[in-house]
Amino acid sequence: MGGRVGLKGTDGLSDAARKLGAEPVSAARTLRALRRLGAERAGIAILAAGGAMGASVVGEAGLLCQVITQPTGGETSAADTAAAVRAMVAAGIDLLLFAGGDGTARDIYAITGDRLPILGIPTGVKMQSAVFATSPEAAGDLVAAIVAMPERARLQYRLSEIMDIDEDELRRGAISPRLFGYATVPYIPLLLQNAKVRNHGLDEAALDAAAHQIAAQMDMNMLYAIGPGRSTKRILSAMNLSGSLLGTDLVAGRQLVACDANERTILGLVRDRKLRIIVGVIGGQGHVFGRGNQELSPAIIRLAGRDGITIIASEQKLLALEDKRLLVDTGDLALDRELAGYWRVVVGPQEDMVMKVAAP
Amino acid sequence: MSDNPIHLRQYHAPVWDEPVVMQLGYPGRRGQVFPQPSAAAIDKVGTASSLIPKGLARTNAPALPEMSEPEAQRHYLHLCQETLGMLNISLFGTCTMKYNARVSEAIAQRPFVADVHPLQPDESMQGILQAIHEFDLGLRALSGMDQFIFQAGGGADAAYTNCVVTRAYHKSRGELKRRNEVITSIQAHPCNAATAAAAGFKVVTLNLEENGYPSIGALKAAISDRTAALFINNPDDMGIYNPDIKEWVRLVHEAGGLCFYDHANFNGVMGKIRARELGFDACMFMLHKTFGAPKGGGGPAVGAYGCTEALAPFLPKPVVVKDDKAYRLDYGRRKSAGKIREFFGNVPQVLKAYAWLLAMGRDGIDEASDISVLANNYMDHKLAQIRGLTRSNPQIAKHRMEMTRWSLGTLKTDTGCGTVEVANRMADYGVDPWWMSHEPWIVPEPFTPEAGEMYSKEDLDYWMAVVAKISEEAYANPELVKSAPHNQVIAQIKSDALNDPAKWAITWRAYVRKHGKSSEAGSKPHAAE
Repeated sequence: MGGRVGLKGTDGLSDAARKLGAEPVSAARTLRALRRLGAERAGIAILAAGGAMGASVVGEAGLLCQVITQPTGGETSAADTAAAVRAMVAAGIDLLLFAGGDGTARDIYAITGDRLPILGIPTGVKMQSAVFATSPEAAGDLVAAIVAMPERARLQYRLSEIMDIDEDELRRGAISPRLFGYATVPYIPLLLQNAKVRNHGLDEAALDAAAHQIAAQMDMNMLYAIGPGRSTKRILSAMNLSGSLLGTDLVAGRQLVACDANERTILGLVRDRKLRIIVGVIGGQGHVFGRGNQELSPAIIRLAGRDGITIIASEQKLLALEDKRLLVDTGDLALDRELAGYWRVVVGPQEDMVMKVAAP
Repeated sequence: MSDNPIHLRQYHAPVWDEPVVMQLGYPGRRGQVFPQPSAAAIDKVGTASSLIPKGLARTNAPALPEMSEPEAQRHYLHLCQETLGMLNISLFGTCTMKYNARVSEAIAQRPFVADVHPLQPDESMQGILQAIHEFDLGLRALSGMDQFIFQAGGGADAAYTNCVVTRAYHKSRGELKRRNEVITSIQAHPCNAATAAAAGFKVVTLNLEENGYPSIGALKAAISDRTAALFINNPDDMGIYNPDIKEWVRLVHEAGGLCFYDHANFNGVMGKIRARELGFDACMFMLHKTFGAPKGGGGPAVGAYGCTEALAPFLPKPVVVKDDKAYRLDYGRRKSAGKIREFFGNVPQVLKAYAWLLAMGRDGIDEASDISVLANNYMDHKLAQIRGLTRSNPQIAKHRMEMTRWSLGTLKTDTGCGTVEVANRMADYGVDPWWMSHEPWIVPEPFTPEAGEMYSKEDLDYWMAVVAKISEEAYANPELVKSAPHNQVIAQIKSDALNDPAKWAITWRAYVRKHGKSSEAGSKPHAAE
């Protein structure tokens, strides 16, 4: 939960999230993953934690499972996660499929280490760890591919980063992702997210110049929603405005009209103005929407329209994407498909790179 | 290739530990002593120095090495020995290396070439103009274009020529203001994007996709009424030929843009395709590589630029033309984009390329492209058996053209030895280290060998045996490779100075200025950095 309300993860904050109107998205996304199992479902014996922690959604997907632990009741907690993982390790499972973000991945890794292959269905807000599939569908496809493999021995594994950001620091605006270790992840190229690569700074000048150009050409009558990240915030710096590093800031008439805005604020401020969204790209993964900027909801993206979206990123960041394509995972599959196709990404003041955007 | 039947030579470069030429010799020593003019001659025409116009005479004597002829000869022989002699097996990388025939060099040194001045009257250099014109006709036959010029001093300069012609063309139609975008691909030669940016165009870059080249969908996303031109190589440095190229050209033309074929990788397709028949408006050949004239340290370069009749009025001037009776330099071109470079090109190089073209003939050129593609595919097959090497776009089964981009990413991950380390070690086996592949490195630790048609099968086998040996060494003893070279003139070079304007020096004067006069006495600048 948490994305739509503009919180950076809800670890220990779920009450605040609920007050702002958040609803858990984890079950719906897990269902999307499980529905991809198709004919391979017959080959899988599923163990699940009880109720909302797994068994309900497995049942909703029309699959049978053995319930291995029951959550202690009410809000599920890290202790419930730990108990379920311990029981699964003891039962000798082949793969641990989980739904969540970096916090959940960390909790699981604390128990499994690199001894048990794990795979994440991306349902969190922050997913900097390299243990997540690129989408719920990709997670389902990967499990199906593993089950369909005639010789399990041919499956490749790789040690993948478990990373997390201190959420308090994140809320204060300082990014400091920490590496917590390496988990074992089944590997089929194109289906997994890479660990986020930090920009190494070679294209700083080109991005700054592009940001100045975008700032100089701003339409005084439009509302600009400037998404999270270092690339996009250069536009604010070019106008001597200071917004939030990790939130969406709103600019109109060259003034900052909202800082770290949530979906409701953005919708409230659009009024009769045209909206332009300016977003960056998550390094290593290639996400444009649906990772760390969920406040830019499907409704808001539709309001701006395809022509009302600018993507800005450094050339190095784009070239470092292993699969050379960008991703959208807005939570609205129909919108994701509308956004799929080729986009021009601004990489410098006089330079665009054409990138393929893929839907889940 | 571990049970290697090829005998790797026990090579060691001579270590001369010799100062640079400016630090050799002795004040007053001379290689040639000329007789003084007679008093009668001086009486009649004055002293030699009085004959030099005042504006051209220097006020201080030049700082030249003062040495005897054998000392100078010996020094340059030593330098040649210390640099692998320039006649080695050099598959270089992202570059077509060919033997530069001595007979062509001899032709270019004949007085009718060497003693001609570009400002002398056309009537007095009809032979040179005829050779340039006839070579132009040869390139027209290879490309289908209507006019070539040779002003550009290299491939990038020819790409820039295309920029100014493109600008002039759109300006003449009143569209230049709107048409300000040049489309190119990430693995086209970087000079395409660079020259377009230098000429004031916005650059739109296409990425390679599953097939190893950009998709038509990506091209369509880039094309608009702002499109000025497409600048493209085919094949690009991955070595994969884009079979949709005709459709690409059609789409760009439909949007009102021009299409430029950068023929830097012509070797694999020469005699097989003609740029004009694929629809292109202009193309470029590198005479210093593809056409057998020297490249790099061997001499000045020429980028031959050709275009259709429709673009010809915008070409830089002068253009060599043939009238009823004679050849002449046509300067009276009203719509010309101006000048790219002085005069009409590096004529000796044009002559060498013309000699190469005549020696090869149509069938020879056709056969050479066959051999270069065959040689590369032979190498593709053999290199694939070496541990730690992977081919770019491994999922693509179809054959590559005249070169293939390879990756040492696996070797680097496994052993810590990448493309720089392996290149350093190659020099220990007496072959030229490969040149670094063009940026951007979209495959990790790349190298891009190009066999061409000149190297024998034995040469290619030897070269690959060296790479295989170094791979074995990297897995057995990575430190040996990382600390290479060991059998060379000097040990590993620290490249820091190359990136530091306060330290680099490409002339003696700059060296003394940056490193001080004291460095002259007894120091060895060539061994230091």
